[in-house]
Amino acid sequence: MSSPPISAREAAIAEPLLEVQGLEARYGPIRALADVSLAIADGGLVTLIGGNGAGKTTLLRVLSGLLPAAAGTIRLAGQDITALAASARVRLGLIQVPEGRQVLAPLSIEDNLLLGGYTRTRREQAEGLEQAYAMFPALEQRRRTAAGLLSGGQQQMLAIARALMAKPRLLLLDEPSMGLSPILVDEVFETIVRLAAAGTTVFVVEQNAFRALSIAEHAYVLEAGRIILEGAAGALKSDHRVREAYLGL
Amino acid sequence: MSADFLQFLFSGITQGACYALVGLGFSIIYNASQVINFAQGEFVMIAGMAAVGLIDAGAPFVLALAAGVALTVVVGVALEKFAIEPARNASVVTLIIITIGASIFLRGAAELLGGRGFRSMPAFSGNEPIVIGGAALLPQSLWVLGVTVVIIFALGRFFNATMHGKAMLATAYNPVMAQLMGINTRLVLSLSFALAALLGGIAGVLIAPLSLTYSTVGVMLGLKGFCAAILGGLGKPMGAIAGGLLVGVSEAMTAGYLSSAYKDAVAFVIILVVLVVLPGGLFGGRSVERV
Ligand SMILES: Nc1ncnc2c1ncn2[C@@H]1O[C@H](COP(=O)(O)OP(=O)(O)OP(=O)(O)O)[C@@H](O)[C@H]1O
Ligand SMILES: [Mg+2]
Repeated sequence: MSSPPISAREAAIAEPLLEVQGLEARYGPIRALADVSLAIADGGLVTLIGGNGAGKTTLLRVLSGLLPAAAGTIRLAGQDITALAASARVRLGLIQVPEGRQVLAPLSIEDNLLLGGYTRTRREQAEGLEQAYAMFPALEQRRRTAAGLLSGGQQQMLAIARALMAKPRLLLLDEPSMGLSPILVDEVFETIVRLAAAGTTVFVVEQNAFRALSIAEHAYVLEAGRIILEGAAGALKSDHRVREAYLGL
Repeated sequence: MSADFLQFLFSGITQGACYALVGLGFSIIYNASQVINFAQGEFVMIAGMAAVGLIDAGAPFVLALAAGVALTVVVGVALEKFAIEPARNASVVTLIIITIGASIFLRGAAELLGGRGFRSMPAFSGNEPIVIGGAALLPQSLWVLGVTVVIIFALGRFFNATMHGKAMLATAYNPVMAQLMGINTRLVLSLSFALAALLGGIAGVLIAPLSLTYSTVGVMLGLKGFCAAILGGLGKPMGAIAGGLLVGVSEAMTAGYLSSAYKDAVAFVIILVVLVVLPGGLFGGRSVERV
């Protein structure tokens, strides 16, 4: 294949890793997302905050291909993936850590991790396991334990480690702080910052607006299925609307 | 132990091993889709009928057995592809009704192609019984038991030590998460029909020399395999095996000590009791733990 002209290549570099335009999602007659547009730069750490039922999980379901988009487009690294099956998106490196962690309770920690690397070669799986255990030593000590026996915090770590097994280009996290004690929340957010620093592009969806805005570079606010605000995370943290509605100030 | 008891036990375990293989098929498809495949018994019938037909037509014995099983797998995959897959957004009840329709169709097709008659297959290694404790054990029974044991170990390895097996388990435990891990859950469904048909087909050629083969032989076998699966807890492979053996042995004891007229009733009584008293099967709990 001949290489594209320089200008096109530069355009591809400037292009965001994920670009969503005019996305709409429905549950039957209910419209859960309306005209959602967002862009996530390669290497960025972006958050989307929203209250209960705002449509955060729905957005991630559509991005991952679990729910079809009723309208709009999703592009990953320039490629239109709107119609791709969920498993095909995983192969492109779009990996989600879903709400409630969803560890496979009866399977061992190691099997959960291996399945996280399902789309990877055996070699990559072995390397991934090594890295996962280096990053989360507690998981290695209990590698043969059924995942369902882990504490909530450990399950969240397992869920993140499992997602990393797939070698994400873009990691989507749905409320990783949910149901965790403040100390564990700190730990989870530190892990996310470390991942982003190591080069993984991260999109984290949260109700815990203060924490999310504290680690992210860019942020969106979702309300009743629409993006009502967007900007630098630091700026949104001091925006009066965000302070009133999400920070309780 | 009396020779009678031993005799009933042998025949019960042999029959039970076949129910176990059929029951495993029910559980595997149920795990992948929540569908109860009522064409499972027809898999047994197809393999037996096809193998007997080929043997009668002069095909080498082993080749005929292999072809019978292979044809069954093809039918299983085709059933999924052309009857289940196009309706995959329909409710589970609809899909179950589709499998009932498919079973009727397969019986009709078998009658057209293989005739209505009862046909017999020669035993794999003769009919000279082995006498143990005064009871006679047919070599074919040893084939049935031996192959069943091998299959159980092979399945255990498949599910615990291969990525495809683990992907099937993951799909059973949490289909949404399975998709998020990149597992093609539609392919898993297709694979589960192939595996269930393979087990049914193997049961079909193993049992054919012991019972006759005819177009409706799968009806009872299917029901008893279903009974085995729910007795062991639908979706639990090891439960289906235990359930199969229990159904087989209870049947043989009933037929031996009471009357063979009651033999087929045993399975139905078990189904009723399980549904009313033990909806989770003998080993309790819900069929599959979901998070
Ligand atoms: N399966 C469904 N069927 C119908 N409506 C749904 C379904 N799932 C979600 N909804 C509705 O869509 C809207 C958005 O839900 P969603 O789960 O995306 O919100 P969320 O922001 O993730 O909320 P939470 O913070 O509680 O997780 C809600 O009004 C919800 O009731
Ligand atoms: Mg949610």
